[in-house]
Amino acid sequence: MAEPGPRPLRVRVRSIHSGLAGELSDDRRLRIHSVFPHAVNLEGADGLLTVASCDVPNAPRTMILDRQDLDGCGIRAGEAATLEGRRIALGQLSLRIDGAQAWTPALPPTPPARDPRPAIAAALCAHGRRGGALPARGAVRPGSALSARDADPADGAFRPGSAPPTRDADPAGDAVRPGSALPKGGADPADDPDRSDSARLANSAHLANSARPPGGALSDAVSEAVRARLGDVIRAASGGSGSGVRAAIVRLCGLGPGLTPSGDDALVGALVTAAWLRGRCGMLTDAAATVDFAGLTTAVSATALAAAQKGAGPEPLHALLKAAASDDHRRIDPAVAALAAIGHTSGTDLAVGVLAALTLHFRERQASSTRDRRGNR
Amino acid sequence: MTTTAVIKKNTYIDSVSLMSVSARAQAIPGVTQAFAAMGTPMNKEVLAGQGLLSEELTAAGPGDLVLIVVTETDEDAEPAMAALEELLVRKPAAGRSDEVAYRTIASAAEGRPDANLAIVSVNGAYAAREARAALNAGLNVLLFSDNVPLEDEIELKRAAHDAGLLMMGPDCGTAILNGVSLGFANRVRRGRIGIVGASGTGSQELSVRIHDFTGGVSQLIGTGGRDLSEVVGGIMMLDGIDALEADPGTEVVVVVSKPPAPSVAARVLDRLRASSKPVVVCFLGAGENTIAAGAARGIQVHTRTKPAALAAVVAAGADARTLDLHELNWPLIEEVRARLRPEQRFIRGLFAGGTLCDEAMFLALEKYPNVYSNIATNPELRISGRDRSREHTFLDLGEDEFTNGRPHPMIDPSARTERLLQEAADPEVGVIAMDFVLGYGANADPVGTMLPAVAEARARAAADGRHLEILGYVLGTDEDPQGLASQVAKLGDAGITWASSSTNTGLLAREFVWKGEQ
Repeated sequence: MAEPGPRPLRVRVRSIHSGLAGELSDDRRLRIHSVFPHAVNLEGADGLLTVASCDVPNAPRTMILDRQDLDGCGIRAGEAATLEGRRIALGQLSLRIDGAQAWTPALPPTPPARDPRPAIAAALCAHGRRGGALPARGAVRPGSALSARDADPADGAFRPGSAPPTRDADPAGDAVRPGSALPKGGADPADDPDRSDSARLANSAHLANSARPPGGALSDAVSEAVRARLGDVIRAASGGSGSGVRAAIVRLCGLGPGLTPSGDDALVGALVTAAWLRGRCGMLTDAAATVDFAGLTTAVSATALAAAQKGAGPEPLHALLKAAASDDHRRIDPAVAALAAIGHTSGTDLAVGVLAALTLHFRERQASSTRDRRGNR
Repeated sequence: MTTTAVIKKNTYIDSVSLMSVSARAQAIPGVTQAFAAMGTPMNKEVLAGQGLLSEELTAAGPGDLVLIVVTETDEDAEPAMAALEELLVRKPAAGRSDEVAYRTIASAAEGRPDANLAIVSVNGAYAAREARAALNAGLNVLLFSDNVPLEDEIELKRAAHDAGLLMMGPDCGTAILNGVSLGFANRVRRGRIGIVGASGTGSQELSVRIHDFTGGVSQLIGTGGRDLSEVVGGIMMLDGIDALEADPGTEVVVVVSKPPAPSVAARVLDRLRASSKPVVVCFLGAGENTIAAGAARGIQVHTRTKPAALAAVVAAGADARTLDLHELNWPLIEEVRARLRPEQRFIRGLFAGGTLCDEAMFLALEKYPNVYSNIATNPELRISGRDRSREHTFLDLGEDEFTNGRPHPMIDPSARTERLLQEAADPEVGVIAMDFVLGYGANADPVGTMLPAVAEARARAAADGRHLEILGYVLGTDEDPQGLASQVAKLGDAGITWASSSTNTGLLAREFVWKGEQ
């Protein structure tokens, strides 16, 4: 007789995407696609679904567990998981779906009355992370909001960054006190052979989040390409070229670093915003619907893109759109901060996509108001 | 160069790890480039564009992880790739995360006990509170925010002084500490000249001129623009001088400011007289009394930045005879004078840097009586940024009236573009002077972004049968991210006259429109 295995650890599903909850009524086998400390992707006939720990925000096709991490739960990529009786057996975990709070991604009912782009761009200056769609260099003076034009990636003038810019080395590296000797210090503590490896690596991580190009010339090139191609998407839509939008989306998809490449994140931000704003932005949705993302990017990203076309993104993205729709733009800063906390640059890239779609929307509004003025003469 | 690539089939690593690995890999010995990303068609296209797409990589799919290292030598390749793969599997040491977001300065200070400086750039209404928290946590402070109440500034500076900490600002836009550039700063050579500056672009100009004169900067300490006022009393300037005095890497002490309040000037000059190191004083536009106060203490007070920088490098040991001093090009001046019509008598200065505007304005004032500005201290010569220009007008486009709701002109040229076209339409304008500030935080291509507007301005003047002289100064060094040479070349290509320094900008502008004694 076989030894009985360890008793499964029962875990409550705290919340679940309402669209996903309805799918999980039939028993079936799932395959563990990929495993991370705070999230596990499962592959089924309907595509990927994500099981995440409680510090991860709600997102499309995602269930959030009443548990802080998924490490040490015997979950291994490639192995099977089973859905049976509204429970998922996953490694040593038994996840109870019933009782979970349903989360429905909602879009604001009306477009923004005021242009929220300067507030979003200013918040990105403070909270955005570089290395993805944000350039590795360049910053804005804090306290002065970016103009709407500056927030326009299509104009090539999008320059938010962490502010104020801190350059070249960790300012924490050397003591500076009046009346005492200013200690000598190399410009970059990473160059100091006396520093421990961990300090050096921690420092390089600091640099990645400040001003240095995080991955050298190649990463710079990718980051630049993401911005340029996002600009292409918006330009093509402004020009009313559906085929141009589609071609630009194809060239943006799968581009950039990260498990969800930066180009995809920006595209998700733009598509969810487009679902809200419609009008000329509808061209993005229409064009994306004709693209087969599966061959262009990772399965995780393709799943996110499919949801974005239906107007669904991670919860902090919806919170930002809600803040952008309100008259109180003070709500935008904390919303961007929360969004930017997603992934490495994913949240920042999502916000960049939001700005891009808003740009398209406000261009259209401006054009129509110009026509109105002429018509009145 | 050797390129090594590894494909890991169906490997998924979270973005945080994936992207920090790319950054960390730059520190692997021998590695010139490293890249870890998913093998999507578009990423492969970028690799192809960089000449890094091998046949093997072509086969990678969107679900495959692609690792690439470019090394200087063949020998470095294998260990570098091994180190990169090691980074991928290594988890951060317990208790130490690669990235930590702190919600308060106090918690950041606690979590990073080795940190000793905080940069505060929140809204001015809250900035003092944050700066106070930083000082309480034992941190030096660079307070970037403006609109901080004066009484808060005084209290913060006194508290910092008592605690032996630096309180740079409020409205301190630049500093270079131990080679670390903070805020807007230029990449200058490290050297033995320490600067304490109460004016941001004045400090940048000094540092850049010192670099140009083959010198180097040990430290650049900002004080904020109000430090030398009567009420603040130069607390930070005096502490900054003390810091440079005690810094073994500093051999020459330079101070730069607009003219201080007389009592504060006396205090600063007294402190400098007691210094054991050579000192250079640059009080831009200082009057006779301030100059005399310096002379009484055996200190020459410079009123222009370029001579001050020259004095500093000479004090540090440079031989002035070996330096390119960028003398004025008099044949060019005569040529421009000949091209301007008699009625083209006035200068219009459109500046992004406040101190650069000041210096050009002071130089014009030496020669002409009616020089108007939005930063003039004389109320009779002060005009608002909304007013039309009058006679000689110098505008600091970085002032609040221009930046309210839009970026600083060092970043966004739009305010200057509008004004340039307006000034070009005035038939009495002979020369329009502009500065282009390079360095960290500044526009990626400050000259390039202005060129269409310059061409338009010229075309409008030409349509009117006038020559319009455009004078440009690029504040920056050959090491700045934007590249001084390429920016200057753009000036030349566009037919803009290049001034090599802030001082020369003012001198050239005033000479171009000189019509002789009337």
